Amino acid sequence: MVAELKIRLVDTTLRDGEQAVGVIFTRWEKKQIATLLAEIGVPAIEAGYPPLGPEEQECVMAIAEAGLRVNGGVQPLEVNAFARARRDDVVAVAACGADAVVISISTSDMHIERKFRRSRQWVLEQIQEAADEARSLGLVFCVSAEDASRTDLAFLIQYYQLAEELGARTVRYCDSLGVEDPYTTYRRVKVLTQEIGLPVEMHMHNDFGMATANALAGVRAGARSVVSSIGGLGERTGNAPLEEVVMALTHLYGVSLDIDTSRFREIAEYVAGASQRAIPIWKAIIGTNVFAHESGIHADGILKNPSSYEAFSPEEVGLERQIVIGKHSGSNALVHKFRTEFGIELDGETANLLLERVRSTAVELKRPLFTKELMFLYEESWQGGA
Amino acid sequence: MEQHRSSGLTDTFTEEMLSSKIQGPVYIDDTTLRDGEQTAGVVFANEEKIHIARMLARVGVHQIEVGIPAMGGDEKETIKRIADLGLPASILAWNRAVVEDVQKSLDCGVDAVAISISASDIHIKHKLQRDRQWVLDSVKRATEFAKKHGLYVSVNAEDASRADRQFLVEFGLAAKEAGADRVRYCDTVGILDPLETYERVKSLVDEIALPIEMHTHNDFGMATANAIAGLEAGATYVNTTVNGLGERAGNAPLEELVMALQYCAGISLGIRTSLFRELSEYVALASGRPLPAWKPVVGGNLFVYESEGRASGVVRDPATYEIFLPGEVGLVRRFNVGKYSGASAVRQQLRERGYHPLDGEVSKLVPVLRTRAIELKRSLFASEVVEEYLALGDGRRR
Repeated sequence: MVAELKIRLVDTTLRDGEQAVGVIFTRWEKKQIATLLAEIGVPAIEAGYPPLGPEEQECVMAIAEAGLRVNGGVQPLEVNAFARARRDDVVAVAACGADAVVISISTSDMHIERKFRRSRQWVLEQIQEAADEARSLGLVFCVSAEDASRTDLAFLIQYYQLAEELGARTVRYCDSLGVEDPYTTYRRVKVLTQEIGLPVEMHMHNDFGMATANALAGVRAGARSVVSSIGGLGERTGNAPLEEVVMALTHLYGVSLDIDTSRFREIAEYVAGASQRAIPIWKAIIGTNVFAHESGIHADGILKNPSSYEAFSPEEVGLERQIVIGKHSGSNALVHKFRTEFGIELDGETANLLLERVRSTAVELKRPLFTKELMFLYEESWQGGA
Repeated sequence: MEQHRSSGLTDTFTEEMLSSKIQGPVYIDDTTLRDGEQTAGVVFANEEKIHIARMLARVGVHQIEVGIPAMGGDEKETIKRIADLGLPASILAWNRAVVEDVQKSLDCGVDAVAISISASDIHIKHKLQRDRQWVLDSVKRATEFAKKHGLYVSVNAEDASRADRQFLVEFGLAAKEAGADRVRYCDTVGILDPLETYERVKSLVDEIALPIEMHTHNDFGMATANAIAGLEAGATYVNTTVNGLGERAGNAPLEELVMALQYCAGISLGIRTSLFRELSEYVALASGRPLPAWKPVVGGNLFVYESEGRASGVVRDPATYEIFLPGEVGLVRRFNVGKYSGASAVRQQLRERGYHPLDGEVSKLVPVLRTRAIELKRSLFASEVVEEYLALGDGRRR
């Protein structure tokens, strides 16, 4: 059963990702990012939001014209662009040569009444008009419900059913404010997948730190598509990160997505550079510290068997394992370090004495020690050196 | 790769799960000073540890996990000093399941101890190189010793998420029999998801009838969701760290957990959340790990509005895009002008600077400012927006 399951990814680094405050990609960077995504096997991207103006239109056009192929194979990368539920937005998308359009409007009463100051009926009319335009222009389209998580479920069903009648390919469920927990997501998406014939797509935000868990809860409930971004880049706290979604689906659920995960670190570094948002060293899956072990207990366990403290090996995501020597190190890691790096065999007593000096030096310096410093400490104590 | 779970993606959430509500009360045991500091590369100065303990007590966490007395030296000394402060929180020290370690905690004058040992066969076999019985005996010895000396005891099942479930029950019952006050369920490698967490914790709660504490890691980005799932299943304690500091990808962040409990689960813990940003900034600096602008709950960008879709909503009513007010976590609301901005952010920024642009002026300005932001590859400063606006009035721009 699991093997048959197909989960489709749509990456929105270039749209919701770029919408993060202060982030702007150049046209060239956008094309590079699209290329990298296609190379690692992501089948579809949101390339941008053409109604913004001529520059953005040229960005989307450049990507659409690049003829990118998924995984270097025959399948073309599907280039989507974003539109509000308005005819002119859809026309702008079509003019860029995009393959598909994501048509979006808020469906919650909160947004309808307080942001638009309109009615539910008006929302349905808007989506109808935009969908008609997309159809007449020959665009594949996804109908997206902004603020779906705060939308009355009965109205959401009505909205998605209309999308189905209008010929949408997928419907998108947006937790625009990132307020859902996995159980709520599961409960609601389950109802939707039972009521709607179209595939449901999850677009989750990380405001309470639950974007990935919620996206996966949606998949468990029957959603068959996930919107992600590299490193989770996106509005406010960001979206469900591509690397977390892929690794969790693979390692926790055994769902294969045919993505070259060994390039995750490389791609995340590119996006970090282009967005000027450094990857925190503790970022799940791709942070450099994720495979760094310092504490005595963990380092000892890792040296005996990496799976003691690692759910997957660092090479799978393009990282390396490191044993850091500092305040929390134990003697086994120290012995190992000296044996493998300096060819010195420490006896038990020496290791314990050296460990004391290592710990007090690390506290004094307020950081772990460099390999060279370990050697200095060793020489000072046992070689009469320095 | 080892198979971590019995269930696949096709499992469903049960009705019981979906209708479960956290009963409360929920207690927070913050481990910034222990698991947080254990992070590779992080060392707090002694004075910083003491200051963080004070701040945590002021914020109102119920228990502070302060460190590992068995490390000796500075660590032991600092723990003693924190225990002597008389803070309005329980002070807990971490120990291996070894009597000598617990003795060192006693020397420090703490009122509570965590007694920790691995419960999974993979750890017992490869790391400890012992057997299950040895683990149970160690738990019993250390726990009985601690209880004899009047300490509150949390017995930590390290790597519980990969432990044999039947053995974990045995482990919990052994701890209970030895007098433990609670059992900590550790997802040490961070491989659970909320469904799996719920199932496992629920059966443990039912079988051992002792308070359970959740200790989750963020390796797949689900630490917060898993901690909450554990609470839904009946756990009553949760182990957090400020900013999620902790081994590898870190722990469940204090600030996310408290706000998610309040706004997703409707449970208020009486924590002074308005101090969160300040606390997060302090820990970020002391740990040498800058706070990302996009960090959930406390990131500097969370209440900055740039794209027109959001800015237009918030101008009309903040509730369109805000679940809680920025002041609740010590942040402020701001408007920024960038590539995705439209009339709302531009008008708002000019108004804050004392200008009252006409609609026609704003619609002329928007494309000019967007182009400028794209050229500069960044959002604009308010002064740049003002300058363009004034240029418009001077007739320097058409």
